[in-house]
Amino acid sequence: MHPDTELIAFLKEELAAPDRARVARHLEDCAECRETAAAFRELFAELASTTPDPPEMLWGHYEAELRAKLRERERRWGILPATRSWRPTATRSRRPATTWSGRSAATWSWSPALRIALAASAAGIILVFALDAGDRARIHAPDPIALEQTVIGSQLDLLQNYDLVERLDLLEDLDVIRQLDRDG
Amino acid sequence: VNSCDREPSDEALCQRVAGRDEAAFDLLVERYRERAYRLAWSILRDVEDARDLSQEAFIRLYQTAGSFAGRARFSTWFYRILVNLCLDHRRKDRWWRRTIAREQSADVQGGSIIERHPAPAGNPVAELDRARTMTRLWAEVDRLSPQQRTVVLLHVLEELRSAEIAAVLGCSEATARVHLHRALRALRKTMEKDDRSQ
Repeated sequence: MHPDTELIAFLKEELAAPDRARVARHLEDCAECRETAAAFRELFAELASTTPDPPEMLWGHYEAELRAKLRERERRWGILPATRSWRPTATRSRRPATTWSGRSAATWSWSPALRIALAASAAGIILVFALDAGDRARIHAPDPIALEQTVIGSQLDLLQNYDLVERLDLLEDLDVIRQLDRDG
Repeated sequence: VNSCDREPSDEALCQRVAGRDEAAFDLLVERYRERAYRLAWSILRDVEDARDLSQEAFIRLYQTAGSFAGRARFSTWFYRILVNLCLDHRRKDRWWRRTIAREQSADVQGGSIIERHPAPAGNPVAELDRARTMTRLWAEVDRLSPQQRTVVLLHVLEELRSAEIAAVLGCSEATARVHLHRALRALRKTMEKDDRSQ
């Protein structure tokens, strides 16, 4: 059986020693995989050596603009409930451990029902703004969008637990899925 | 604080930002502004959007620094904010329309990779061939799915490991590798087709 996606881990030197040895042995015997590995190595090298540079940026102007945006946002946070106001008043020196998504068992005291209600309220606000603003709601969307995204972002870990959801975009390539299931 | 050079680590600075330390925020902006702009531009291929979204990522960083758990590297956490913003923007903004328009006018504007990577002195014909090949290669990268393209960019620009790429994209390590494998397979196919047609 060809290593396929394991070949990527092999080329990125991420395999444990036994797996690395197994893939290396396979490459010795399989001309097709050897050719693929060589082509992928060449592509890595070509991509790395020819990465296009973005147009020049005036960093002084960039930082001044960022500062102005931040001040404006802070001014609005003073009116609307800001994310930081959700956090407890724990100081840095005794801040409890938080999770990847920013939730903390010790400090995040919202009940599940309250969180759902908060998410529903945020979604309602978003709907109103979306209907009102239409296509104009883009990067400069009002703070409720940022608020809603933060709420959804805090639930991302939940979504990641669903393998099917995670693999939906792979459905077009059944061979790869079969390979994953075999590997898994 | 790193013991060797006494420079505060990114993670330590982020903790200070959570306490609204503006000097720490400025330092993080200085460290990451070019990488953030470059990565956003590489995903979006639009200067204005790249500037806006990289700035927005810094604002989100300032706003949510307290949620940084410190289990992953700061860079991984920050790239996740930035990449999510960029991918969301592409989904919402009919990104492909402007990309097609840009491709159609690339010759007029001189914005192709050939101009950005002028051939060094040497065999001009060979260098021109190589520049054309690279233009095709990156044009093909632009045509990959957003996830595949982002995985390629995180690998090439930031040299992230599969586990870090997975953390940025919020997927499993295996899925990150599948994205990269499929991207390379597509790029290889295109390049081989080009070789045969030459």
